[in-house]
This record gives sequence, structure tokens and C-alpha cells, in this order.
Amino acid sequence: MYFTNIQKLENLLLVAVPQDLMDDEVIQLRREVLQAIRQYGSQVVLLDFSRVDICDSFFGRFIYSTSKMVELMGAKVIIAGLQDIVIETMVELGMTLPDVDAVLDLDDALALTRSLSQNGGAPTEDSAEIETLTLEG
Amino acid sequence: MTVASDIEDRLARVEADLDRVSVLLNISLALNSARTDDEILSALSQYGIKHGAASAALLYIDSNPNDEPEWAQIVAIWQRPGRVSPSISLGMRFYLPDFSFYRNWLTNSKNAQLVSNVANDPQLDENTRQLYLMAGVKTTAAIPLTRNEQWLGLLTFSWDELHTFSNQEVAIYNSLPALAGPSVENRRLLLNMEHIISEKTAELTESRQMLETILDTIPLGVFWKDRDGHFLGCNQLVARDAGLQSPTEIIGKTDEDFAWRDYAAQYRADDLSVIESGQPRLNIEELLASADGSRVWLRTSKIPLRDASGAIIGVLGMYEDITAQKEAKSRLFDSQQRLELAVRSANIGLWDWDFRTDRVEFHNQDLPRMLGYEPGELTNTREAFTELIHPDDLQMMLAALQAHIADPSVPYNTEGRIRMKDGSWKWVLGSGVIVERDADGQPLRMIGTYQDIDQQKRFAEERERLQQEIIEAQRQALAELSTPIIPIMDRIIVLPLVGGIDTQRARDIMRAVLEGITRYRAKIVILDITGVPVVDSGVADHLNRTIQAARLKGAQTIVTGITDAVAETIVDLGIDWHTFETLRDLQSGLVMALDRVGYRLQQVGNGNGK
Repeated sequence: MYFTNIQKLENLLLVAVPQDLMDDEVIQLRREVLQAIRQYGSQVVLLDFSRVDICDSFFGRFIYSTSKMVELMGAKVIIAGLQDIVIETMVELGMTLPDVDAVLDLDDALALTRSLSQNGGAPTEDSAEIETLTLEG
Repeated sequence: MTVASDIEDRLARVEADLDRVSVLLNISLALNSARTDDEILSALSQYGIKHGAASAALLYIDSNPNDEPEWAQIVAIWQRPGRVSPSISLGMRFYLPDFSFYRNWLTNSKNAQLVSNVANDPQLDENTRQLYLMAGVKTTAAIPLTRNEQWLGLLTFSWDELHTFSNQEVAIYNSLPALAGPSVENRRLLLNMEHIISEKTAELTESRQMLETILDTIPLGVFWKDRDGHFLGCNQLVARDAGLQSPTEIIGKTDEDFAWRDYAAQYRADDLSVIESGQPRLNIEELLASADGSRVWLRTSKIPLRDASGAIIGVLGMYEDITAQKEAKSRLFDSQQRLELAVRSANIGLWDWDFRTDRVEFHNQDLPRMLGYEPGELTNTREAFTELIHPDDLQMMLAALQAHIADPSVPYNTEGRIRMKDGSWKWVLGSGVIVERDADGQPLRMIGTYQDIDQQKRFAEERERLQQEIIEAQRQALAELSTPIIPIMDRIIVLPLVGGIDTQRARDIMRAVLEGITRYRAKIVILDITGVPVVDSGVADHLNRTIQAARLKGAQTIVTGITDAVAETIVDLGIDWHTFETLRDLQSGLVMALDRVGYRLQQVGNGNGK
């Protein structure tokens, strides 16, 4: 049922995170994201939070665990569209996600993705491997 | 007998008759003009005295004319000068049954009783004889005074020498009773009348004095007037109100003559209605202007004044000064009214709690009405009333009550909410005081009020809310002023910070930064802290959060304006600022920013124009 929230755009996997994620739905969505990466060989996963206006512990855990798992699968997580109020709460809670790139919106996300591709797949060794892995997959 | 002697005899008899007639005429004339006992005696006794009487006495018989006479009293006395008899004096009374001489004479004879020699006359009883002998009387004559055959009195002549009565004397003495009768009777009647009058006068004076005393003592003004409105009299109180010295001065005057003349017409109308209808008018409340200038309220009653035949001859009035009552009543009424008004306008409900019965009385219905109940609808027990108090306020109100019960000097003043009939809550100010305690100091009765302060309370809340809004609006305006976002180039915004940074301002800065990023699609945010006077760990922490937030929004932050002092502080405090770029001034910040977004500053020409 969350397939509609995940779209493939070039080598970008676009994930529209729905509002009010429940505990089991978090796991469900994350599983679907991982399956899509494997299926499409996406290099970059863009988590679009523009629909989310509440920041709770599920939310934090979702971003954190998803980015870690995506990295393990050789792709990169970019977050976009965080609402101001959500950011305020995240900062208050110290949930600053230092290892995750954030962009303003989808345009910037695409621009970032392209720059990553032009720079030879990835700015880092990891991402090159990921790209390789992805290509192989 | 010779003719001459016969003629002489006849002539002598005629002369004697003439003499007698002239004597009796004289006595008669004198009697006619006599008015007093002494004059009567003098008139009657002139002939006897002429014939050598030593004394004469006039005795009236003090008796009922229809009865046997019993007492005789000497009412007038004449004595020859130089001869004073101790046995005869004015006012002496004789009990006639003890003196049978008089008694016999009174009952049996209508003629003068002549006693030529007291010492041996058989007519005299021993008492009479002793009386005369003691007085040195040798000869006496007792002449009854009658009228229509009733004994009226007695005239006596006494001689201290033996005296022989001539025929002429006998004839005259025998004529005296008839002659003296009318005068003596008149005199007796007059005396009787005088006696009766004096008795009646005494009675009248006494009752009149009593009446006057009563009239002048009672706290009522009493007056009486004739049909034409002229005063016939009054008591002291009316005289005083009228400014008169004595009640008699009022006689003949009318209401027009006194200080109350302004009300005369009304008084006259009342008088006339009483006079014409014959019905009393009672308890008229009216004003009177008294002579001292004061206005007094009277309660007046007027009743018709009638003569002996029952005809109405005027009006009798009495009045009571009710000014004090009236004023007291009016003051009471005023203060009651004022209190009621105050209570009502202040929206105060009264309650009266009897601890013995645990009942709460509402003296007026303001309290129930205040709470939206109809009169009588509110159960007036303490329990029922306590249930109406808001549970959040109950403890506090009960505590205040306990404090007041324990120590009367602690006032019972408390605010709380009470449930209205429709279920809503009303703020009230409760006040009360214990007015009665038993011997042990336990409260028996408490009286108090609940004042509706709902509106004040709401006004206060509204005021507070408005104040908050104003403060918020002002703060907003200041925040916008203090967090200006300046877009200097594509995707670059500058935020020059001026002034101190506290928690609230830090939040404002963060929001401004996030909004600025969205609005200008900024990739670079330059935070210039040149204008921040003090950078301590607090400020550093605030800035750090803002930078993290900007990063999550997809923008990089460059902090510019790091002075040498700030640099020192940052390091001394051990603050970690390595996760973002810091530069000394805005210029170098701009260069770096442009570089980041893909621009490069290049000097064109030599900088001096051409």
C-alpha cells in the first residue's frame, strides 16, 4: 500500500513519507524502501518529509535506521522538505542527523543527485562502491 | 271718766298707735335696705335697744323647715358698749332640745315670749335660766321670726336690769315676727345659696384645676374653637407652640394670627368638616409651623364640641408631635432603602447560616436570583449549598471559613465559583462574619454576602489576554526588526544580528532563518554577529542550534564577524564551532558564499574606473 509513496526518478528513489506513521508502518515503509533500492538499483534515496508536520520518536528512529540501512546497501540518503516546525523540534531534541545531507526541496535534491553522478558516481569512496554495487545489482 | 279725759285717752291711744306704726315703719324701711345679718339685727333691734336692752342676738335656726328645729346659731350680735358678756358670742350654737324654754316657745307660741324676771319666771327651764343668770341677764325677750308659719330665726333682747314691758313694747315685739319674716327668709335663702355656691365653687375650682393640670401635663396639645374658628381655649403646650405666655391669651384669636397661618386654610377645612358632619376626624398627619420657626409634624384628632343641649358649638382638637417618630421612621426607611439599593445594585446576595439547624436563610431573594433560581427553589441547607461550590474552590473556601471560626480577627473573604442553575459557573466574592457564639466560643450563627464578581473576573481575564496580545504583537514587531533577512544574491541571505541573544530571540532567529531559506531558496546563510556584544556559551549554543536547523533545511551557514575577543572566548569556553565555517568579517563571508554557490568575484579594470 506504500508503493504509491515510492517513485523511481532516474537513479533517484523518491520516497514521500506519509503523515502519522505508526510503529509497524515505519517498518513496512523501510522494508519497501530497501526492496525498491534492490529492485531499481537506486543510488540516492530522497526522503520527502513535506507532508510530515509532527516530529516524534518514531520519526527520528525511522530516519536514523533507514539512512543506516540504505548506506549499508551502498546508496545515499538525502532528506528534503522538512517543515520549520519539525526542524525546531528536531533541534530541540538534538536530532540533528549530522551524517545525512539535507536539501530544501526536490529541485535541489535532483541537482545534488546530478552533481554526485558527474563527480564520478559519488563524492566518496563509499558511494562509488555503492554505485558499483548498485550497477551490479 | 270725763269726756276730756276720754278724748285724752283716745288721743293718747292714737298717738301710741301712730308711734307704734312709725316705729314699725322705720323697722320695715331699715329691714328693706338690710343686706347682712348685722343690718337685719340693727334694723330689728333699734326699738328694743331704745328700751334699755343690754344686748341683742340674732339666731338662725339651722334646721330643715319641715322638721323640728334642733340647732340655733348666733349670726349677729349687738352689745351695749362697755358690756361684754362672755356667754354670748358670734357663732355660738345651741342644741334646742337642751333648752326647753326655746323649744316650747318654738313649738307652741308664735308670739314674743317676754320674761320680766329671769330669776323666778316659771316659763324658763333650768338650763336657760342658768345661761341667763351667768350672763347677768335679769329680763329677756325672745321674738320668733317666721314666714308662712315656718320658723326661720329668733331675735332675743336681754336687760341687765329688771325691765317692765310696756303695752306699746309688747305690741311692737309681737309685730316683729311678721315684719321680719320676708327679710330673714331672704337672708337665710341667700346664706344657703352662698353656702351651696361656695361648696360648688370649691368643687368646680378643684375639678377645673385638676383638668388644667391634666391638660398642661399630658404630652398633647389641646385646643378648642367656636364654629367661626375663634379659639376658646387651649393648654400650655399649644400656648407654647403659638408663642404665647399663657393659654388665656389665645382666646378670641384664629389660626390666621399664628406662625402656622400658612396651614390655616387646611385646619379650617378640617374643623368645618367636623363641625358640619358631627363626626370626629382622627389621626390627621399634618405640618405645623411653631412660633420658634421650626416645622413639626403633628398627628391631630378633632372632635365636635357640643353644648348641654347637644348642639355643636365648635371643635375640640388635640395633637401629638410626631416629628421625631416621623424622622426616625424616615431615617430607618431611608437607610433600609439605601442598603437595599446598594445590595441590589452591587449584585450582593445575603445569607444567614444557623449552625444549630445547619440551615441557610436568604433574607432577600438576590442570592438565589443571582444564581438563576426562582425564589424558594434553592434548598436552604448548608449541604445543598456546599454542593454548589466548584470542587476546585471548595477546599480553599472551607479553609478560609475555618480560619475565621478559629480566630474572629481573620476576616472571611474568599473568591470562588458557584454553580448556577444552568450548570455554568459564576465567580463570587464571599464575605461573612460570625455574629453569635455559644459560651464555649463555638459559632452559632454567621451572616454574610456573596457578591457577583463574575463580570469583574471576566473583565480581568479579558484584560490580561489583551495585554498578552499587545505584548506579543510588540514582541513580534521587535523580532522582525531584530531579525532582518537580507537576500544579497541568488540563494544567499545575510542575517546581521544586533544586540543580545536570549532564548526567545534565539528562537525568533531560528524561525527567521528557516523562513528566509524557504522564501529565498537560500543555500547559504550568512550570520553576521558583529553587532552581538557578548558571545558566551549560551549565545554560542543558540547559534549552534540555528545552524543545525538551517542545515536540516538544506542550507549551509557561515558565521561572520568573529572578533579577536570572540575568538578568545570561544576557545576559552571550549566551544566546538568546527562543524561550520567561521570568518572574521562579512566581506570574506560573502566571497566564500559566492564561491559555494558557483560564482567568483572578479575585478574588472583597475578599480579606479577606467
